[in-house]
Parts: sequence; C-alpha cells; structure tokens
Amino acid sequence: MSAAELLDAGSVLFLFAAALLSLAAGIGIVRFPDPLSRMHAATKPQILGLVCALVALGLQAENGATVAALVPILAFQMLTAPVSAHMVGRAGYRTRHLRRDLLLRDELADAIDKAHADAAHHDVEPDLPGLVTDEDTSTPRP
Amino acid sequence: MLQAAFVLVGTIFFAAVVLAVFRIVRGPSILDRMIATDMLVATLICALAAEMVQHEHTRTLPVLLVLAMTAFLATVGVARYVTQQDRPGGPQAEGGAAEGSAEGGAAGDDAAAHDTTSGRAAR
Repeated sequence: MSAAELLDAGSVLFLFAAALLSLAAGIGIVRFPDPLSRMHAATKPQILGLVCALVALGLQAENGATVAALVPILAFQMLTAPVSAHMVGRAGYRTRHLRRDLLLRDELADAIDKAHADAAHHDVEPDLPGLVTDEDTSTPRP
Repeated sequence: MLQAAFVLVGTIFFAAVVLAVFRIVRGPSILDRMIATDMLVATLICALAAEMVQHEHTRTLPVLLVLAMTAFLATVGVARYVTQQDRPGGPQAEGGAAEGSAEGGAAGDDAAAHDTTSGRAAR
C-alpha cells in the first residue's frame, strides 16, 4: 500500500466523520423539541465537521499554499459561528422560544432578577431591552 | 472501492441536508428555521470539501472561504428582529392557541410549554 493510497484512505475516513456529524445534526434538528436544544445539535458540523472535512482536504493537498488557504476558512467559521449562536440564543430566551420544563437550571434568570432588584433599589426601570417577562405572557393574547 | 466510499459519504450528506430542509419547511418558529439554515450552510461547506477531495481539485476553496465568512450574517439579521409574534402558539397560530385555552388555562411558565404542544397538535 503506497503513501498516496494511505492518504486517500485517511481522507475518506475524515470525510466519513464529517458526514456522520452532519447526519447527527440533521437528526437532532428534526427530533429535538425546542430551539435551544436544536441549536446544540446544529453546531456539530459547524466546527468539528468542518475540521474533519478540512483535514481530509489538507491530506490531499499537493503544496503548502492549499493548506494555508484552509486555515482562514476554519478561522472565520470559528469566529462567526458563536456570533450567530449567541444572537439566536439571546433572541430565543428573550421571546421565550424555549421549553422551561426541559431546563435543569436557568442561570440567566438569576442575573435578570438581580438586575430587577438593583433597579428597584435605585428606583429606576431595569435596563433589559427586548426581554419578555412573565407579566407580558400571562395577559390574554388577542 | 474508494469511489463507493465517496458515494456513501455523499448520500449521508444528502440525508443531512434533507433533514435540515425538513426543519426549515416545518418551522415552527423563525428561530428554528434560522438554526436549520445555519446547519444547512455548515453541511454544504463540508459537502463541497468532500467534492474537492473526490475530484482532486481546489477550485471551490474560495467558495468555502466566503461561505464561512458570510453564513452568520443572515442569522444575526433575523435574530435581531425576532418578536413575540413568531412564537409557536402565538398570534400566528390562532387555531393552536384556541385549542390550548379549551383544554384549560395555564399561566406563566406553563403557558410556554403548553403553547408548544398545542401548536404542534393543531398542525
């Protein structure tokens, strides 16, 4: 078995890993009950799947320039994936797109309670833009 | 042998994409759709890399770079403007909300879970 064949086999193995991670994300995104748990599933191919695919690509590279081109792809994905995840998670929490009965612990609620308490202590409105509180949802919807 | 492996890899990627598109079509909220879109782009990047390995070229590397750089913009833009209206069981799913109230009113934290289940049942 030559070196080239070994590299080919390695590439295929890494591509298999990437494909299986994508499939796991697909299954999770269909089966999980609420946006927060679906976010958890959707991140699988975003970083680890991409790393596997890029390693497979790097094993086939004939020169260093190709490998160097792979680095910014991973860097940008690592920079931008948390940004979108943070925005989606924040919007989901604020507009209550989540199943409270599935949460074990809600640490953000403690921080919000503290913000409310601090604001009450200084006799001002808490600075929590966009947050939907329990009072809003207990009123009957149109 | 190697070609068969590539076909299998492609089939798995295709299955993942179909599942993501199912979630985009199904919803129920705009956030679910954006999460599924993010995952779809990530899967697409991996699939393009697999295609490059199979056909032994590097022409689509710039496409990977641009996708990795810009995939998050749409998600951030949409997440900025998500409102209460987009909730499953919110004003848009009028039938689901009506059915939910017929089963007995639930307030506060229970209402969120209640709406999710009743909205799903109505569909």
